[in-house]
Amino acid sequence: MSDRVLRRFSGSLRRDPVGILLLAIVIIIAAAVMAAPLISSLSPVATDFKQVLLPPNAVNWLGTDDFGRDVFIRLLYGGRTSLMVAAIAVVIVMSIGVTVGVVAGYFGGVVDLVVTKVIDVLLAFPRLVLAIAVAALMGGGMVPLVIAISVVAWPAYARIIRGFTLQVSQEGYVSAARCLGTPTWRILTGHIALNLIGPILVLAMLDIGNLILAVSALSFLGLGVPPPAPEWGAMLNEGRGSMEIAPWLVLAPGLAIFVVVLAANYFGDIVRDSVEGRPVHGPRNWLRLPSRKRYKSVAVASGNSAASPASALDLQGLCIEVTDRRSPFFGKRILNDVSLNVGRGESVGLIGESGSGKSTLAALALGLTRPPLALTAGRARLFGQDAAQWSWDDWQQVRGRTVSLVNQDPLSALNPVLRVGDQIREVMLTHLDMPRAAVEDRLREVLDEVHLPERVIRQFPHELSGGMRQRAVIAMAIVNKPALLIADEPTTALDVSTQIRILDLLRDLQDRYGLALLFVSHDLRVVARVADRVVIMRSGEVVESGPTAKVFTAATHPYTRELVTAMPGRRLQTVKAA
Amino acid sequence: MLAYALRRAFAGLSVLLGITVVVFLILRFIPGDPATAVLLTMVEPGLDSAQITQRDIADVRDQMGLNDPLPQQYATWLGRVLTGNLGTSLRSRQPIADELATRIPATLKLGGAALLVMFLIAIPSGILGGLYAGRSTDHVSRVLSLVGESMPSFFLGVLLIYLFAIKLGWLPAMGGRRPESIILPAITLGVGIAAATSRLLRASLLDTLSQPYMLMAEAKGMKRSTLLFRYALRPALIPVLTSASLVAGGLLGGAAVVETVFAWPGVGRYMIEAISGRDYPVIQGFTLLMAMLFVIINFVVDILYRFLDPRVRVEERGNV
Repeated sequence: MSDRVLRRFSGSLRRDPVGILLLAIVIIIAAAVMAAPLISSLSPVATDFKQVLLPPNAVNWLGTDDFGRDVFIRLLYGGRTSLMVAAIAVVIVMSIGVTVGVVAGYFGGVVDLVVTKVIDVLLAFPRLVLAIAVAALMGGGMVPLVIAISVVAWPAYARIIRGFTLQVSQEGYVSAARCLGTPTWRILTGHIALNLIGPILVLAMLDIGNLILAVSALSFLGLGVPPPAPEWGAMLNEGRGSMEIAPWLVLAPGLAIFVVVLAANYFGDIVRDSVEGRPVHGPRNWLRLPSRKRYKSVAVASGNSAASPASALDLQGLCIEVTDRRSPFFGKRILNDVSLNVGRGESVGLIGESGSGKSTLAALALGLTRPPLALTAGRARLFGQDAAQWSWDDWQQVRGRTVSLVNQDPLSALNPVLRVGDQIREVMLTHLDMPRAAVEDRLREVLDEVHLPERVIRQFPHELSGGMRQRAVIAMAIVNKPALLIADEPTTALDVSTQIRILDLLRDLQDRYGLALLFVSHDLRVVARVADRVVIMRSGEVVESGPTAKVFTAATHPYTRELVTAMPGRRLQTVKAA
Repeated sequence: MLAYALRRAFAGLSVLLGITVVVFLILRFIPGDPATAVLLTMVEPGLDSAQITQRDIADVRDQMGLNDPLPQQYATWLGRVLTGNLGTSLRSRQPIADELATRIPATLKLGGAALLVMFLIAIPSGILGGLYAGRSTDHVSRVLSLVGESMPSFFLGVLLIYLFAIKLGWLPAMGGRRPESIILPAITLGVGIAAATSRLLRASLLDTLSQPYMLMAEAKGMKRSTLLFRYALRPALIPVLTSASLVAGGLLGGAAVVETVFAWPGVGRYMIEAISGRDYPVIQGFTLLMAMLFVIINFVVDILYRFLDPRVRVEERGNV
């Protein structure tokens, strides 16, 4: 894991001018701080009352303070203290954290119990409060500072390392080593600790900025090295009094701390992203889509489409391609010259293997085609109207009203924090101007139609079984009596007996409402149960279409024949056909 | 729910007990003899340890109960703490509990104001970062987060004083007497804790935006505002509550620093003043108070979390 992280880290750093700049600044600061005596012969503590509060000049690059001491050289020497304390604290914190965490995680039992309790208690203090208390009670100074920082920082590490250890000690090679009689200390150092190096370094990177901040906060409060020795936080505190006439006294140490911490956090961020991965694309950014002028979709939206004889869905020579240049699949054609027609009240099954483009087609019928995909050629008509150029707002009126969707995974298709009743109600409230009582009546009616008890109105999605959730999704889809229902693998996530009941329900609803149904599935048996006509897709193209019984008994395309032959329990289809 | 709350309260009590042990022990393990320290603080300045006789020390040790075995000392101390007696300040000779009580409202007020500042920064920046992930808006929000968390609060506070109090003269620099005095310290304290929340909200929002129910809601023809607030934001805000512990820790810890910078009359500054006077019982009392507040806040947040997320709510009902 650490190799991969390291590679990603160096990779992202190379493409990152800000990161390189910060790294350079940090290296320069560190080098200057180390080489302080070589850079200037001025003393950081020698006072000179003839030179008090001089502004920055050729000799005193950053001016002098109210004791006439050179601020620049104090900054360098102060950095030694600040950074050294932070560095020592990191080493101590890591050592204690790793030792305690590994021991607790590996041995478990009473040791683990006691350690976990101690960690719990120490983490129950606000970090800085405990650090201040420890440093204050120990009287301030460099050693108390290190101790204070270490005392408050180690428990968080120990807890994480303990978790990692628990994980690693379950691994096969650790049990193998144990069975082979490898001594415990060798397992701990050789197998477990070695595997923890990656996570530990990541933790250190993420936290070092906080440690530097804590060190300087304590020294700002007067709990660091005693004066006159310089230290960044203390310098800032001393400079406060003369800030009005000598702002450099505050700016110099403040900026020094800020830049170093900023760099540490920046690298921490890069490391975090290399480990966790940072999603950079908002998945569905409908908010970004411009609200363009509305097309005349009102005819379709108001549902008086029954008047026109046009097909529910009529696609001619459709091509959908990856049009986003940033996508690794740029230029790939997802749908190639696809034509499909769903008549009114007709049930069409769309069959294809994974990646054949059938879900892309279903999304298109709802206006949900999104970058990186785009429609590049062909005609898409919805109830006789050209839908290819509809804006998001046009589609918003149509979706859930005239065309609706039943999705594949009922487990995640419902909003987990809204009650089922509210999720069905809002479909009516958004699209129809209905009085409250009518909404409630229709809600009860639709639940009855999908065979759900009334109590689900008050329930949350996770309280329902998978089959019940899919019924709730179907209720949402049909509550406004749409003319076209897109069912995209609606039964795939369900067990077999539930599948059949859901299919019968869909078929039943289709008859009742005269719904046009586009049923997408990879499962021929399922399609055979609901579809009048089937369309077979492969690699983005339609290979065959025709009445269900005909395609299943006398397929012309070899791929279809292969599919039909491979279908388990073919008897089902014959029974159905009979 | 109630059973869960009780169980959590019980766990919280055991942690509180552990806290009292730690707070008790750190005073016992400080270098040097507490009795000598007390003597040095209580008698006139100018006296040094050489002038304190062994008998004085023995007397004070006896008075303080330092000759008893440690567990007995702890029990005595805990008994007093439980009755609200945190001891007497060495400098003012006043009960510490009273002194803390008069100053805690100022600290809570500052904490509340800082929380408000944090929300005003973190919520918009988190939402914009999530919705415009990978775009320039996202980068700006990310840079702001980085700057916010890298800025030492005492440096930011001093800069704000320099700009708004000294140069522009818009706001008072110090103290808490005027109502607008709270603005600068609240900003200073709020900025530091906003970064973590903003980051968490961004990640959480990206997660809900990619959930299938988002697509489903769009397919239901929901309007933009419904999609944003009911479907994306509402579930996304729940995990953000988990950062409350971080936020509370930052507020309570940062209070001491920020109150010092702005001479804000709260418990933080009281404690920092006690440090220079070597008023150990005050430091002890302050630490105990802050840790207790922290535990209580975490407990409330935990219960609130269970209450707001229906998934967890029912799980618990099922278990009990």
